[in-house]
Amino acid sequence: MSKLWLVAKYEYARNVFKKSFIFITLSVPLILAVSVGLGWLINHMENPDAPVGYVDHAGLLTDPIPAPQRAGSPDNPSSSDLVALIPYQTEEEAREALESKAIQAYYVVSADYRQTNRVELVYVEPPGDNVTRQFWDFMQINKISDMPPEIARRAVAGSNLIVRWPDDGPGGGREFSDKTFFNNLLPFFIGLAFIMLLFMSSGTLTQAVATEKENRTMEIVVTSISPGQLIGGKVLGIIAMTLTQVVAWIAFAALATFIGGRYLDIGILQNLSVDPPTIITMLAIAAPTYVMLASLMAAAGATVADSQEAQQMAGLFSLPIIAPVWLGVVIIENPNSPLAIGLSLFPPTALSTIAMRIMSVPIPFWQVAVSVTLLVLCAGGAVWLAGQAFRLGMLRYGQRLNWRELVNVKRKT
Amino acid sequence: MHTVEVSHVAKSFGSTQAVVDVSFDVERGEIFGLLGPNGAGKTTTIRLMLDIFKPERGTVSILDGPMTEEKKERIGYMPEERGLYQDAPLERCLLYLASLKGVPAAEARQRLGTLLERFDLTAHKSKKVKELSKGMQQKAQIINTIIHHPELVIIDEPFAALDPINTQLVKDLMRELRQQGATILMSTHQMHQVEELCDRILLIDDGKDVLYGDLDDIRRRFSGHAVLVRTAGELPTVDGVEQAAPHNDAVKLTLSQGTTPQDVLRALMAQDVILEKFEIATPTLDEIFIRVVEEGDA
Repeated sequence: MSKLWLVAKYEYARNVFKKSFIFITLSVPLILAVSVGLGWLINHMENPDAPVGYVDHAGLLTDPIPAPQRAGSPDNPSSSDLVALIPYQTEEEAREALESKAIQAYYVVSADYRQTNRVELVYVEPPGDNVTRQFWDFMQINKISDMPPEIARRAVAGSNLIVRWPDDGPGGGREFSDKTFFNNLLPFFIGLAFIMLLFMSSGTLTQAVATEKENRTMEIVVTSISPGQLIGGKVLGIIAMTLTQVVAWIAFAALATFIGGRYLDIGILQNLSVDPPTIITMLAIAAPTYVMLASLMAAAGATVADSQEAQQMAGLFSLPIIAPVWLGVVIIENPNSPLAIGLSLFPPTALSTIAMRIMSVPIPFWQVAVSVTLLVLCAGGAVWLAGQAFRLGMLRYGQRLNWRELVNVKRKT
Repeated sequence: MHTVEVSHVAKSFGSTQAVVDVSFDVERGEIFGLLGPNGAGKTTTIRLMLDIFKPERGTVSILDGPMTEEKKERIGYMPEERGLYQDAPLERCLLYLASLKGVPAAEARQRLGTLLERFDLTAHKSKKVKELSKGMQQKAQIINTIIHHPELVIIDEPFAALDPINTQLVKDLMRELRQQGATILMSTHQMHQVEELCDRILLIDDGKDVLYGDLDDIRRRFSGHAVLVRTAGELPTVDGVEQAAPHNDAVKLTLSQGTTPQDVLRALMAQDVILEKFEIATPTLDEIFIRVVEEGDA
């Protein structure tokens, strides 16, 4: 086995079998499961599914048209928050049913409803929003029951605003609507996930190099393998470690989405999708960002005195990467402003800025191309710097390396 | 062909000239001592040999040519700044380092078992390195240096932190390696160990080689400044003797500059002294070291 792989394998095993790694890998899906479960529980606590009664004094609901279903997509409606509507002839009958807990509440439509729109709601515990919304739709559709049913249903369904990019422009055919809201947020979450992974793995890399220095093993190792094999192996091992975590999380997230959407009828977890160009754009930006940051972290690890200092240094590098999120509102409101475009082209801020912009606008190809080119150049520079730092700093046990030395010295070793 | 050939190497760090001009050869199958006071440039010279640093001047040939990645598997190195992975169990740490030296896993496991047994570390193989004593860590370092059966062993202060029993163990091991044909370059401050083990030495001071050659030749070269004399009667005064001091069953006469042992012998014979013992006192390596370094008497 190549020595590069030996280092990668050792680094991978060293990190993956740590208690902290196992704890973090399992705790995230656990939190996810608890969140989905809590969401479902709250939804059901807020929206009890006991029937609701009504007494129609206005004669509007004698031969009622059922309320249209709103939740979920028309193909796969979520029925979890629909309740049965039971007509009562008199208020006494309805009150009796309420007291015997056969219904959770009842509405009384006044005789002069057509003039006053007066409806009374009688309850012991206030019913959930789903009940109000459903009864309101029920009333609306029956008020216009003299119209053809499809027109009545469409009128009750209300407006459905869809913003669509022209088919032949950048991001052609892309749609924004209520139904795609969560799908549109996904690129941002993907970007954030990449940033999180970058911090996790490159921070580990900084520590891995610093620990080598701290343990005084550097001199033994570089007389067994080349510095390139050492750094390359460490990077590969840590990438593999990160991928293990990502795969575990994606698997858990997919499972949670499947269970939440299919069995718990959680609307936002149904019909999730993201378009391939968005994924490709995010990957094209994230890959060189990773190399750039990982190399800078490795350089930091070789320049500092110990692993504690390395961790502080890693924190410093994180700042510009995450900084655009603080300007999130400005960027999302004006995704094509000079500030947003500038931050998209500036290598350290490109990933998070593009992740935010891509939610609302398609990113022009030239901007992605310039950003990726600059990132690749910076990544190359960072790799060179890391090599310099490693060669100069590897034997300076317990000592920091001056960054000026890194840039100025051409052939120190 | 020599195992190591170092020719007029020089290296500086900023304004500090760590190595000014050092040249030496290490012959195949010998134990070579690299000596010098602290800060003389020994460690830098070793790092130049191993291509950790590039020399600004001069050339290094190791195992018949410049250093290569392939040659790293034929060299065992125990540096001055030594360390192992403190959080790793001893066995896993040593197996990993052996794998980096190209030893197949099964063979490494078998060799390690034998060496752990020999160094009395078998019971500690599952312990984390940081839980071991300094002496145990030192023994683990030695195992790491030789587990891949290197042709050239470069070892810096091999006896540091070792008790007399383990010191003897390491000395025996070094002799054994030499018998098996390995070349050993040893850097140490323990002169009596050098006297006991080394065939040849190089003494470096201020980044320059000041004394180099066969150990016995060097000792002979520095002898002649004192003689050990025992007489049947009282020892008469002799010209050219600076100091006379009791030394075991004899008297050690320290000779002044320009006086030779032959002069002293002639003077004693001229006085009809009955000699029971007349021996040229051979200086210890410690004495030679001090004379060379402090008095510049190379």
